[in-house]
Amino acid sequence: MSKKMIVLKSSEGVSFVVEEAVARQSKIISFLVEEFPDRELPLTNMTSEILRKTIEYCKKHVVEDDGGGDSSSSSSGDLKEWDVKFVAEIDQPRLMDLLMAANYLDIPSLLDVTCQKVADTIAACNDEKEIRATFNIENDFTEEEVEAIRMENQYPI
Amino acid sequence: MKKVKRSKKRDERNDVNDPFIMIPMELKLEILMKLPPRSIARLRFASKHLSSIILGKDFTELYMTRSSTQPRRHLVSVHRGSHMQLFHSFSQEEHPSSNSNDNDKVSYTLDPDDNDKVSYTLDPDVRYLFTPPVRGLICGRKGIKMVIGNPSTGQFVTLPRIKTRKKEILSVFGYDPVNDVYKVLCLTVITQRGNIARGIISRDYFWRMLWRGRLLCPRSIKLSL
Repeated sequence: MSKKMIVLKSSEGVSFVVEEAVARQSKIISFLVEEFPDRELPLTNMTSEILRKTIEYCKKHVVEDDGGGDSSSSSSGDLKEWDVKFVAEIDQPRLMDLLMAANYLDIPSLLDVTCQKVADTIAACNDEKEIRATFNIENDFTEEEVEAIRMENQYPI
Repeated sequence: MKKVKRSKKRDERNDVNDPFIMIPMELKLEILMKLPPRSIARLRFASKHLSSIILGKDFTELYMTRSSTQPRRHLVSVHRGSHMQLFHSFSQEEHPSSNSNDNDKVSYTLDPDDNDKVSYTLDPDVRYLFTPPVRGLICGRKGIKMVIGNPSTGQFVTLPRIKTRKKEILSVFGYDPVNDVYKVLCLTVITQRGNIARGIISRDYFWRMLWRGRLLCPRSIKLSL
């Protein structure tokens, strides 16, 4: 049984050979393979590391038409659990890269999972200092400005 | 010369590496939409960039549309004694984590018996009279002090004091969908001197005099905002 394979090339020039069904979860790749069959697809803004992660996600989520493939056997509950574990293992900067990749390649389910993870990370922070530290955000407020907003939002005496 | 300067500035910005500056606007909104109100309130203090998005029209409208399609949450204010007022409020699907900020006069806790209950403890010495909510916001007044608050986030904004010596004030809180502004209309009434009434309306955090004159029947006056 031969499956159609396509080649994706990362920004470092590393080629990844992927089953077409796997890669087609990306709407943009799906479009490109139809327009330009048998052509290597250069993904110049994706590092090998992020591309590898994205492919790992797509492999897990591929739904095969013939129903005989083992990757389609996972139930939606298992898949959700797998997604949670998948994003939990990624550190903060890479999570943002993966989110950008999901957006660029147009993979709605991966975009949703990564956005949710970012939101959960923000929600888990107890104050704005923790949020800044987690996401490497520079505090561009002066103390007076923060005080002004606090006063504005304080319940009056 | 100018061109060189501009590109240099861009390089500097990239060095900051703030993910919320780098990702596209639609993704920022996507993430913000998944956050509970309490986290959004916190995120407002994180950076000017995030603050501008949170206070921006795109986001507030998106969040409002989503909030208004969700089941409502009931809001009850219990004053000392038996006086009680009932309102309803727009809700969010996730339960915000409990938080008490030392600077806040409002403490915010989750009821251990009921996961859906969130309670604020207001200053017990100040008794505010609250209006029914308008698009998720409530307005409270105690004498000449007025506050507008968002019960979901615990943010309360104080309006400038009403300049009047009169104690009898009628106030109404409303939203003007045409100009997209929230307004508070106050009527200050002098009952002793033959029902002289003054109507003032809040505008950009200032009070503006609407009219002053004699009212024939101030008790049954109909107001439209």
